[in-house]
Amino acid sequence: MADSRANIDLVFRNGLKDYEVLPPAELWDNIHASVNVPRKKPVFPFLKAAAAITVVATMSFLAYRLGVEVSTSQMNEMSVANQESFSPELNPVLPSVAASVVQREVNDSPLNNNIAAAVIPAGRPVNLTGSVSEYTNPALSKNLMAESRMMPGIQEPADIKYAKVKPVEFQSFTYQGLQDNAAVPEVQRWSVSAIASPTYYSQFSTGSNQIAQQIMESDQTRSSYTGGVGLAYKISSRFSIQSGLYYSSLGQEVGGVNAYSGFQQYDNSKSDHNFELLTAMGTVYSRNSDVFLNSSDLPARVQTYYTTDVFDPVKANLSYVSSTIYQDLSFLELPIILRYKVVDSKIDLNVIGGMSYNFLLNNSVYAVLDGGKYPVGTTEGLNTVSLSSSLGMGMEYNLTNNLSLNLEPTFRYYLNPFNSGKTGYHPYSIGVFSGISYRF
Amino acid sequence: MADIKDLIKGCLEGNRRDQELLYRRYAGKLYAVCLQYSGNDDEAKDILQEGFIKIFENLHNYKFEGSFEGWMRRITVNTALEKYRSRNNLYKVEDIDQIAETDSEPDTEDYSGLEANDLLAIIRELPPKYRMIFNLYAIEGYSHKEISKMVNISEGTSKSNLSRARIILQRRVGSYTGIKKKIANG
Repeated sequence: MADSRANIDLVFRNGLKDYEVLPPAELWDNIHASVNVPRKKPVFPFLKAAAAITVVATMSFLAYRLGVEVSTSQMNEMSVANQESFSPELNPVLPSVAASVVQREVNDSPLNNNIAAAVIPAGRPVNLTGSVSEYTNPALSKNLMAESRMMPGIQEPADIKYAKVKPVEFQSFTYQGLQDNAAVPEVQRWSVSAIASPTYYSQFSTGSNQIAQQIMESDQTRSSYTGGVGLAYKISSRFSIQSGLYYSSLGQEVGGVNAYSGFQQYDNSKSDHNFELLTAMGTVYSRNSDVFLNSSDLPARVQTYYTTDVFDPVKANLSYVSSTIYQDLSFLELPIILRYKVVDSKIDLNVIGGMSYNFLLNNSVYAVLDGGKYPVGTTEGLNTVSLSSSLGMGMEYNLTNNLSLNLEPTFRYYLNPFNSGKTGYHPYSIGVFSGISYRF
Repeated sequence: MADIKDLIKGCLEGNRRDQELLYRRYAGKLYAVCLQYSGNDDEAKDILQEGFIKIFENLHNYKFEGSFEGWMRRITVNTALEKYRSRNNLYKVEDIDQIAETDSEPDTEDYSGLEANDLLAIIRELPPKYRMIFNLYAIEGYSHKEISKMVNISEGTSKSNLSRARIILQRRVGSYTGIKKKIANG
């Protein structure tokens, strides 16, 4: 019978293998119309183009303004400048084109050589960034004004005073910046960073029954931390990809569970554990044969043969340890993070998103006894590898060309549950990563 | 006949003629697949249309590794599967149960004389769930484990549905064969 059923599979597979049916003619028109609808282009290239145009337009405008300033203020410059106002040590060199224009115009002007020499000495650095001090040389001023009167279209104001020329403020503009931009900057694509973050964990409750729900509600996650080193590669001016190695810890407090010590003398069990404690993270197996556990709040969460009707820890004179059990887990994280730089400035703003593989390193459960850890056991059924996703915003303050400080509030969600038990522990965390990056 | 690589390249460049040539070359085979996965012609047309739109939109993802026709077929089958998933809730469970209860073992295993259009007609008469499982298992070659994830059912359900689909198909193939013989014998 099985053969005949498999045979029917072959009948259909072979029979329909090369079968063709002509589709209705109008279908192609529908498909073609849908396929050739112009797609919306991604917004990022547009923004890039707009940003590039803005930068070029700004630079062009500034360059144009500069040229205008130099040429139109030439008379003012010449009329007010004196040699003392120049400071060769501090002032940058005027770009060659602008300098030659100024030099040529000065040479071509009908002013006397003394003035020209005083204004722009050949090859002399020029300060265009500050204000020019008040000029108080009456003799030179008279010469200037006399020259001005000789020029067509220039009329002498009635109230002119030769003794003093009004100071002229140059537009504040730094040539140094232009010079720096003119040089091709070295692209620093790589960066290493060290980061750390206090982390708050919580969970979306997915308990499958009432006990699981109660457990989820009663267990309290504790503040934890993450830290490590990262290596980032800049894919483009805006995008970068980062990986690294982080160490992270997380834990929770299980309240309402009484732990007693001194049970070993009564332990006749051949099992490797006497107690199973149900928690949000998973089931804890008591690996310490000296510990006795019970729960007054939710007795069903402690599963054991040594129930209170069989064994009374008080009558047996066991030592009370604590009513709180601590569960600690630690992970080694391997993240893949993408960053998109939204604002590129002294303080950069980034949008961050990525995934992270988390490898379980440590798994311990304990109570606190006299300030020290009293081991209870381990959490069972934990996945040794879990996957988390992260989303955040980042601020990057550039201290120097190579160094920057980072601050990144990040939300993380664990995509697969930590355990395979009933509670389906899917924690999420909120952390503020801070650190320092070095670009090279 | 134009080389498939040239056709794909032309399609990627937005060349309408190449797009149409590609469509004409494969539409027949893929429409047969769509009919195989659907209960009526309108549904088949929808699957073919959506499938081809996906093919053109994802053409840049085809890396010239493996059969191009196989790549297109997978997209078409996935489109049919998406349609099935979205309509799954509309199918009445009692329809399936009713058929299952009245099923009996086939009285013939004589499949001779059946042509492809007969097989297609038979397969399309299956209830949607059985048709989908049978197609995925017997025609596409997926395992029950894969099917359980694709259709969101258990492996056991996949196996039992396949079993019922086979019984129905065997019965109907038998009926078709009998009718055809009667017609042939006058």
